[in-house]
Amino acid sequence: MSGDAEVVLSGVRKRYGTGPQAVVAVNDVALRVADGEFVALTGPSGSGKSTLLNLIGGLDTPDDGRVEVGGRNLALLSDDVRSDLRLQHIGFVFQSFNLFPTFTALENVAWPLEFLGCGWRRARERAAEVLVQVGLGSIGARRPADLSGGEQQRVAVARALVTEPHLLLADEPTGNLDSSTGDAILDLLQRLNAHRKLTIVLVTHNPSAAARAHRVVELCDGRLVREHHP
Amino acid sequence: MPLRFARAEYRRLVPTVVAIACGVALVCAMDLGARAALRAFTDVMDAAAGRVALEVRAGAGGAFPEEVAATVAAIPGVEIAAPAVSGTARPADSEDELLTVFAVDVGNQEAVRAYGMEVGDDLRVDDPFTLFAQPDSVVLVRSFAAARGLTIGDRIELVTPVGRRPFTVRGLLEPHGVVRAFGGNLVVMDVYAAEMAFTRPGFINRVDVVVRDGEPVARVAEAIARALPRGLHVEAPSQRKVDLERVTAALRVMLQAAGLLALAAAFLIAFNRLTTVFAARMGQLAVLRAVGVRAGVVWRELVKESLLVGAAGVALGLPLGIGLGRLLLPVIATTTALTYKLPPPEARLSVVAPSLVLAAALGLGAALLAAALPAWRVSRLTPRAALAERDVDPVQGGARAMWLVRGALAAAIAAAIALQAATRSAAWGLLASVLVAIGTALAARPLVGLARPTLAPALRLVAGPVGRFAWTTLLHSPRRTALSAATLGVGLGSILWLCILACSVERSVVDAMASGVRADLVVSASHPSAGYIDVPVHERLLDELRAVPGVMAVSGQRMLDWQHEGAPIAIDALDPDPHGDPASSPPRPASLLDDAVARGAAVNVSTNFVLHRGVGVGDTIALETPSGRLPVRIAGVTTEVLSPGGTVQMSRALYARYWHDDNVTVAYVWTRPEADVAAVRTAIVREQGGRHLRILLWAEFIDYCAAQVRRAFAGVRALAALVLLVVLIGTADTLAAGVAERTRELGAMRAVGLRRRHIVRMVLLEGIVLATLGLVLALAAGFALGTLWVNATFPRLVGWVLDLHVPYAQVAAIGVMAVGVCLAAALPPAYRAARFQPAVALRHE
Repeated sequence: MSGDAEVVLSGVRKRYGTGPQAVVAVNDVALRVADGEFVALTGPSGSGKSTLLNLIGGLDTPDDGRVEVGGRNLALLSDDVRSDLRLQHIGFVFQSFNLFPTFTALENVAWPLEFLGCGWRRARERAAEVLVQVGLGSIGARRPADLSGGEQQRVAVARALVTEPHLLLADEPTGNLDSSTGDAILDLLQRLNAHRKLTIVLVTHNPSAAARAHRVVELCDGRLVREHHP
Repeated sequence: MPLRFARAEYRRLVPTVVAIACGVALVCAMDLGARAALRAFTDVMDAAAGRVALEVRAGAGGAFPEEVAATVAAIPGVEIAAPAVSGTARPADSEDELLTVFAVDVGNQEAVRAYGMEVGDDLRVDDPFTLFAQPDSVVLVRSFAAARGLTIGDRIELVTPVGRRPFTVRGLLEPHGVVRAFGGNLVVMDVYAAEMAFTRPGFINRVDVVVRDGEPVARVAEAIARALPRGLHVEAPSQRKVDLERVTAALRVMLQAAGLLALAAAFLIAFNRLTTVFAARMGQLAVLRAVGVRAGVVWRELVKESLLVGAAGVALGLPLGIGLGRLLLPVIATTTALTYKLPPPEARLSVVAPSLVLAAALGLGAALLAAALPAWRVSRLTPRAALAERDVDPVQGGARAMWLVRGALAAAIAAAIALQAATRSAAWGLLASVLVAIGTALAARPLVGLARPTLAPALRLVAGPVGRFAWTTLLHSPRRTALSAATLGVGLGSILWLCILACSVERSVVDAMASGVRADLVVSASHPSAGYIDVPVHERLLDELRAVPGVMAVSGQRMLDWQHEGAPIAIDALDPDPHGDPASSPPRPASLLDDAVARGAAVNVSTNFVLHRGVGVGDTIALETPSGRLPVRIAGVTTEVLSPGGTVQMSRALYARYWHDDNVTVAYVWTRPEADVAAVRTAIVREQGGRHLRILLWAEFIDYCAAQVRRAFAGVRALAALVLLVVLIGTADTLAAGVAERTRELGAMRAVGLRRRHIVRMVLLEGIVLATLGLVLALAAGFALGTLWVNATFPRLVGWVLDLHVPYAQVAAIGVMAVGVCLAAALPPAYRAARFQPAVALRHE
């Protein structure tokens, strides 16, 4: 992949179901996210935000249109190549954290590195460094059940960052957190974008969260209805 | 409500239904098969008895003077005292058929009526006078004759103890009464003609007694017993049935134990699955509790649902069991016949209510027990706790109590084993076996914890990061992992137990044979297809063999079943000094018995004789013989395996003197050093053209004995296949449940960047880990049960004393099969997990 993490969507459509029950989740969306940009996708429930994020991350493929990440058309890539793309260049942060309950915080952060060929000892060392970067240097040995929501989400962010991706996709990362904790996470994301030039696409229904971004893209009923700079 | 829940989640419950069905099927099949086999043997006895209320015998085939019949006839209360001869013969042109010979005084209408036959209706003869006047007359069953194209007046050659003899068909039997029980394999002769072929002139081997109406049978039996010469005894055919039921009860217990172990494995699968299903329903149950439904009501509804599942399993399992019973019946009947040296009868499976009720009750009971504890646990959760979204196994706590239970169980196992040793009762051994199975299941959870330090790094080393995931996934639900390992442990352990038992029996028999007489050739008239039935041959065979070129020495052995102190034993009478050409230069084989036994002053007894009667070297026992009481001293102990009740070994001269029997069962032949053994065998066949003999090399003889044991345990393979099926279901169910529970996690893994093949490898590795844990438990349980049964329970239950032999090759094969089965079980959930759409999986609740 080229050094940039530019995201280009053109004429993207995604439909679920068939016949009269079919739902058009994303309808003819065109969007460009420049390398190093922080973009927020907002809109009411069912507007297609998460679907769009999944298409950008290669978790799903569009029925029509093109999704390009780093100059590569994801629809033309095999499932294995898309997986490799996510592992090496894209980081995901989820609303429900999706940490593995039987792993410690350190193990939750370290394991993606093993799949990149890194030895386990080196992976743990690197994971410890990343945990420090997200402000969790002392909780590596604890399990997710022993962490607060904010701490769990920081661990999830650390997991997303440990492979040094070019693109970070965050789907409602503050949805399960109280406002102050959520703000702390958003602060973290802003710092990552500012200092590392990490391209971030944030899905949120929270206007104040969206205001952290360089650009806000509003969706409604699967269509892009407005773009503005907060 | 239970029906609604079950209908909504029927897919999740199908593996439980199938597992219970397999367990019910096995219990049903074993019980039906054992009952049918027993019924077949007792039907033969019943039908053969007819109106006969008492029988006078001198042990198995022992002959006594025909004047005894007249003595018995003179006893008040006796209506008919019919002299009879019974034996076995084989058509000269068939290797596979064994005929029961039934010889009565055909000229005596009363004697014939004693067996429920009427000359004319059931027994069609052209000329009754010819039938008993001509010693070559036989009566065949009409169907047997028709199959060979024979009719009255035709000739048939039969192989008898005195050799191949031609007979003339003088009559045909209709399939009524005694005939029906034997199928077509019955030959009726006149008793005097049979004496010439099966005993000797003037000697019979049975008197059948019909008691006058109104006379108490027991009183007449006592009077007969007082009048009989020593060595003869009187018994009711019903008593023989009781004896048969007692000895076959042991086999039935073993079959039922195997069935119950399969049901135990099914119980573990049901427990595992129902725990998962109930836990997944916590939200719904919390709503019920929040609305106001009592905990006890919730519990009852969940248990009712499990009964529905059990009922479905029973409904599926009973017809499966009936079919399986039909398939296994020939094996069970053969095992019974081989074990107790009986002619295998024609057995038919009858579907009887008690077997169905037993299997159904056990199946429903297993389902009920499997649900009781999980239902109690989830019904006791507070609504708040149940509604809280926590990724926590609801079955927590009680670890200390479980260790107490494990400790108590270990103590109970030790106590049961000690009680078996002290009381010599097999019942304690059976209890210990059940407790070992339960202990295996309870040991699974600690094993999972113990295995962690070893398995986790091993998996990482072998499989890299995927290995780490496989192990931690299994640890995510330690209860389910432990239960799956327990299912594997109990199921595979039961297979190992049976394999160790079968190997120990086979090797013990072979070792006993190898430690006995060892010759170059073993000659007998035993019929191979009947397995272990000994057809005696007159002792002049020994002289005939000595005359064959290349033969250096010959020794005869007579083996027969006898009674001692009311229980069955075997007599082994051996020529101590192999007789050969006195002028021969090569030295003859050394004496086969030590001096006192060879002289007839003492006897040897077998290890199981010592075990069952508590006697030893130096003690004196008194044998009842046809010639009177014979007190003999025990000079030594052998490892013979002729009878579950024990064997008394003596010189053949002593035997012939007291039993008036000059037949031999086996002749041992030693060839000259310069002779070619194969050539001598050929020469014997040529010299004995008129009598079909089985002539085996020593190694062939040992193999033959081992093959009979393997035939007796042939059913183990069928049981093993069914148990492996149960294991497959259990493992597949566990892995599928694990994949379903981790849908979102799997979605996250794919989102982070794992490929599909990583997911497949992870689930397959989980299957291998389960197989490994299960094998560890199975090895422990199998060896424990095998050792317990070989050393203590089997000798008490069946009567044989065994040495422990472990079939390491089979154990390794079972291990490989277990891993293969678990991999096969893992494939569907592995590929299903790999095909999850990550976006869809991430939304999974």
